[in-house]
Parts: sequence; C-alpha cells; structure tokens
Amino acid sequence: MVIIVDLNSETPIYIQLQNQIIKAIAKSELKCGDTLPSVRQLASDLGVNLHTVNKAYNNLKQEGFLTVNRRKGVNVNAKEVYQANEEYLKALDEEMDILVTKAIVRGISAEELEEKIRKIYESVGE
Amino acid sequence: MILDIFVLWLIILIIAIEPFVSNRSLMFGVRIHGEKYDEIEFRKIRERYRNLVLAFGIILSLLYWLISTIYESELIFILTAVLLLVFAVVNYKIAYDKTKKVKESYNWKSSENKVVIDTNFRNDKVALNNKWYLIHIGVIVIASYLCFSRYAMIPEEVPVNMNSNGDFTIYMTKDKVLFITLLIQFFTFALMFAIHQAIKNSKQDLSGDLNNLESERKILMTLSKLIYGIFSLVQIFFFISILSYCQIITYEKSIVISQAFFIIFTVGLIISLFVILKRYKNISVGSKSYVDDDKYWKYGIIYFNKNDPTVVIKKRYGIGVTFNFGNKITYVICSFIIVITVALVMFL
Repeated sequence: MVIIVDLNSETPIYIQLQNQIIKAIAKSELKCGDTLPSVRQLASDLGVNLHTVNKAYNNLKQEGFLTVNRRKGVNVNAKEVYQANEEYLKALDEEMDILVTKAIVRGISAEELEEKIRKIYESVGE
Repeated sequence: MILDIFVLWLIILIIAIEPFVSNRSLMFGVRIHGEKYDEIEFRKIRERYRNLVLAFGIILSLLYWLISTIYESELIFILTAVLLLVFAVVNYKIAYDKTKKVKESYNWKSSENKVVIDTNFRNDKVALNNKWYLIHIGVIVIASYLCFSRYAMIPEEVPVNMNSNGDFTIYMTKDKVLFITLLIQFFTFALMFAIHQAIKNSKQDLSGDLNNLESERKILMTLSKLIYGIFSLVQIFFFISILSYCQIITYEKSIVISQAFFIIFTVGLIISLFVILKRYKNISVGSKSYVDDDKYWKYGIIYFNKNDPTVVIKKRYGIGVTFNFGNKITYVICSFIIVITVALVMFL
C-alpha cells in the first residue's frame, strides 16, 4: 500500500494516516491478515514521531480495523470484527446529524447530498 | 613522494567534481528544483567552486613538493592534508550559503512537502543476504585457530610498523599483537553487521515519487555491497598480518599482497562510486518530486530531526551512512564507539 503524508497540511498527520489506511481497507488494497509496518518502521520511513504513528494505529485498533501485537506486528482484522454494530450506528447518526445539518444550513439540497454519497461509494468500488 | 601527490590529487579531484556528479535536485546540500539545475546562477556557483579547488590544489601540491625536497618528515603530508581539509570545508560552506541565497530568490513554495512511501518497499531485497557474513566469521575462526595452533612458532617480538626504507621500526610482544588483531577483526565484523542492519531498515527516500522505488532499492543494494567490500578489505588486511605473524608467509610477502589488495580495492571503490552516482542522477527530478528536507540537514550534511526515530540514515548523496543527531540513541552509540577507540589506542 502507498501512503502519502502532507507535512504542511492542516490535517494532523495521524488523521491522514488513519484515513488512508481505512480507505485502503475499503478499496480492498489491504485485506484481512495483511501486515502493516511496525510503528518504528513507519515512523522512520515517514520521518515523523513514534507517537504519531502509535496514535493512528491505536485509534484504528479501537475501531476494530487492526490488531497491534508486539511480536506479530500490525495486522488487518477480518471484516466481521469491524462490521457495523449498534454502537457504531449510534455514533454514525450523531456524526451524520451535524454533517447534514451543516449542509442544509449552507443550502445544499438532499439530491446534491445523495449525489455526493453515491460518488464516494463509486470511488471505493462498492 | 609521487604517490603522495597522486593521493593528494585524487582527493582534490573528488572534491572538485562532487557538485557536478551528484543528484540534480541537490546542490551543495541544498534541495533545489531539478529542472533549474542548469540555470546560470547555479552553474556559476558550481564553476567557481571547482576552479577554486583546482587552483588551491595546484598551489598546495607545488608547496608540498618544494617543502618536502628540503625537509623530510611525515608531518608535512599530514599538515598538507589538514590544510586541504580546512580549505574544502570553507569553500563548501561558501558555496552552500550562495546556493541557499539563490534558492531563496526563487521563492519556491513548500506546499509540495509530501512524503510518499510504499509499505511493500522491503518485500524486495535492499541489502546483501545474511550468508555473506559467514565468510567473515569463517576468516575470524581460521585466524583464531592459527594463532592458537601455531602459538609456539610465533617469535616473542613481532614487528608492527615499517618506515619508507623497508626497515621495521616498532616491535610488540606477540600476546598483545595477536589479541589486538583478533579484537579488531571482531569489531570490524560487528560494525559491518550493524551497518547492514541499518541499511535493511533504512528510510525510504523516494523524493515524493513512487517511480523512484526501484532505483532507491538498487541504491541501497549497491551501498550494502560497497560497505561489505570495504569491511572485507579490512578483514583481509588483518588476516594477512595474522598469516605473517604465524610464519605462514614472510613479512615482505604480506606487505606486497596487502598493497595489491589496496590497488584492487581503490579501483573497485572508484567504479562503485560512479555506479551509485549514476543511479542517483537517474532519480526523476520533475517539480513533482520536490521534497524540501533542508531544515533537517544542518549545513546540508548533518541530519538533525528530533521527530524521526531513525538512528542511522543513508547520506543524502547515497554514498555511506550517517547518524540522526536529533536522536538520543545516536549519542549513546557515538560515545560507545569513542570509548572503544580510545581504549584500543591507549592499549596499543
């Protein structure tokens, strides 16, 4: 998998990392059981702090995408582990609520929003 | 005398051509846009630098020749080498400052400061296979075996230094010499092993462009071979001296063999330097691949990045490795090396 980090971006590096790994999983570039570089290796390659990579991996671990093991390294979990559950749906509702409300305030129609969602689905290849 | 001047000029020429053979996106340790490399301002700096080195080289070698015809002392060559070194540093610094100034006048945006890596980078080989170490271990084992089995045959006093007339000047007891020689062989191996591990885990330097993946792998592989070659030569030198201490070959023969190896090595080294530099030139230089890492490279050569957990890093020109001086572990390793060196010198 290719990782691109913009050091000048306003988005924190750990979020950039997180998002790219999730995208790679969605696009099946990363499959169940695939290994990611160790924290030290990835931090060294990117020239960023160990904590930055650690934070990204830990967040992904909490969301169920990765298993971080000191010995075996970092692995991508099976789909069943991170499939949508009630807790996730609740969080999604909250996030969607504010996201969609913001869009409504700024005058974006329901069709436009649907179109945007469809485009994301297409780009991922679902 | 002729050899001295030959060595002097070899160094002078290497210093003089350095900015002309290195990567187009790197000039005197300053990152620039590759396509601007041939602009007149940059060319002027390079040419001035080269002319100064050559002019200084001519004056220096004339002076050396004049003085050494009057006095005969090893000190003169050392002094000449130090003078050359000081000049090289000052001249480099001037060129570095000038390049920086010109770069600033271009006002390049650093918005393109993206790091690109491929997590599969190390799936293909980037360093020599571990089995190559076995040869070194074998040499050390054979050397130790010879020392023990032929211990009685070794004379009590062993010559360790020879002057230019071919007379031995310094003698040492055999225990000391054998111990130190074997110790150096072991440290040579350990150091080579450590550097190889560092190369295997080396940072991916793709200059923000995935097309550089293959060439970057090749650069690391060549570097790995180069390091292996240099350390093998040191190992051979000490193995030959063990052979001569054990009376398997004469001292005179051992010196001839060492000199032959030295010549083969020098030729090999120059060839591999050109191979690496040529590979480096091929790394794409479009404006897309511009990653401004200047702030991490003090004076263009000393790597200092507190955030980077890397300890040993490949030099920017691709030849050799250096330390990350922003990492505490570097200072631990450096002081360890200094302590060992000082202990060895005191012991001698």
